[in-house]
Amino acid sequence: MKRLPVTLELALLAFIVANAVAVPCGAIAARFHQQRLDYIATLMATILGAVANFWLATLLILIFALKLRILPAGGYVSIAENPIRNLSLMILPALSLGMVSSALLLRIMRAGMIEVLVSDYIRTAVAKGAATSRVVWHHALRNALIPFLTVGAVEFGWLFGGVVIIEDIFLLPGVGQLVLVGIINRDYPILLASTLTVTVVVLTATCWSMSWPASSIRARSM
Amino acid sequence: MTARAARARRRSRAASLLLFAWRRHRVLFVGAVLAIFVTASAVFADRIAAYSPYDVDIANKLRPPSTSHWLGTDEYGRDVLSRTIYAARISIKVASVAVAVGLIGGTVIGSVAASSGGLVDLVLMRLMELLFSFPAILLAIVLMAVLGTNILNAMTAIGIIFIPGFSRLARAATQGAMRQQYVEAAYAIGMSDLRILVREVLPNIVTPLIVEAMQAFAYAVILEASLSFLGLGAQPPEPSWGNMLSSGRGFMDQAPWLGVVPGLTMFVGVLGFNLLGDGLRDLLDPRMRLRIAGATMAPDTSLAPRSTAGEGPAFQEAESAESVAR
Repeated sequence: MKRLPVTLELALLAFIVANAVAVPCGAIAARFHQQRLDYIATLMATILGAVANFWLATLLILIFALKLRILPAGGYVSIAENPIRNLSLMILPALSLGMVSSALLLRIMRAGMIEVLVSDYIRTAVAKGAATSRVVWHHALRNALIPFLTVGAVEFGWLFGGVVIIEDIFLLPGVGQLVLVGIINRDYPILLASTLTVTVVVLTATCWSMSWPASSIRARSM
Repeated sequence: MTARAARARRRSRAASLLLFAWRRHRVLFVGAVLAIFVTASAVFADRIAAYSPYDVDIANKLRPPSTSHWLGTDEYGRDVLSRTIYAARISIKVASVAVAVGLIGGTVIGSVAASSGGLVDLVLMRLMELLFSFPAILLAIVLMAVLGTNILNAMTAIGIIFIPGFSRLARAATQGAMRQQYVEAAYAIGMSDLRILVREVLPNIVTPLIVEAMQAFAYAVILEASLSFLGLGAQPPEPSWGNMLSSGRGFMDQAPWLGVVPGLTMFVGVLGFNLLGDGLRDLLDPRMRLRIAGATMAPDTSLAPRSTAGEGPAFQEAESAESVAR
């Protein structure tokens, strides 16, 4: 249980990175559908979707830790002990996990936004003279977020599952590293406990996404 | 003269076919080119690679790219390009077997569940959901820990991971097909359940399964590399993109190409198979393409008289992206 906060922090930061990339890029891609920005965003999603997170992590270490020397290559300091050092140690792992996850979220955000932008209530909003930016960012974005939130919650669970390699690369003492320790030492109780911990978090996120009151949000915002 | 004319005609026909493919199915075309490139290097690795992937040459260790070693050498002086080419062989082999295991297992379970219904359906699908609840890489790691670390077990572990996704897809497709009139007609003429499943239903559910198989293939390549990276897949000195990246990590300060080349090749392969899957989906599932095109016909925030509430492209996209390759 002592290792869980490290993994939770990593998954949470990666989730923030994934959303920070996916939501604006997906919305802009849909807003400028079949224009240059859309193609750039789609290309970005396609490229990110084909990158393995451990390779991205290797590249980030190579660029930011070994060449530019602006971020540490690995290690962990608790957030309570030194928040700034903690954040600087977590940036690269969070980017490695989050950027790769953002590919799927971006595609879903874009598709959801495209779907919403042709709906009747958007047409009504435009007909009433609402500014395009207000229609897109206020009216459309809220409904476009519904499928996104559902998948996003599941994605958080999967991010949590994907920490094993990233924790190994960045020497983070989290649950993922414990899984590897369990395997290397053939310590099955440790392996079982760490795997179950990850699975419980994944299942919680999945169940939460399934119980997401999508219909009521849709109803409220319309 | 006639033979030359025939050859020229054939060449021009092939060129126009390629041009047509490029114009009409650009994603499919690019995906196919990349996928063929990686697969061909895997198949013809022994002819393409200039060196053996196992030849150690300590005198030339960690040499940067040069005319004799195009992509440099690793910590044992082995040629990185040759090892990268041979590593494609492992990835393609593992991914092919794993996808075959997942596809066959998933299709059998899904179609049997859908056609049987009732308790069989309930038990089989709950079992699949149980497997589905584990994150893919974690399940693969645990399976490898239980089965032991070698390539055959990596294939099995990755294949098992794919079974739930394929079974859910096969079940949904079978349920759809079972409601069609041709199945009723088959029942009416007295065909057995098994015969209906194999002769009538299977050919009609194969399209979405092929599309998903392509995307699963790309994910299998990443999973195999992940396992090898952690030391659970291909074991050194056997080259795999994963173990090459893992061993190269320690020398990245002196030899950055060790952290770039295997990953870049893996990226090209995965990108190719992903695009091939997307392109095939567009080609073979016109409903999906039309639905997205219909929803996006209107320029940005304009006012098309069309509402695609409910199962629109976002849900389709999410479904398709999540169904197998998790």
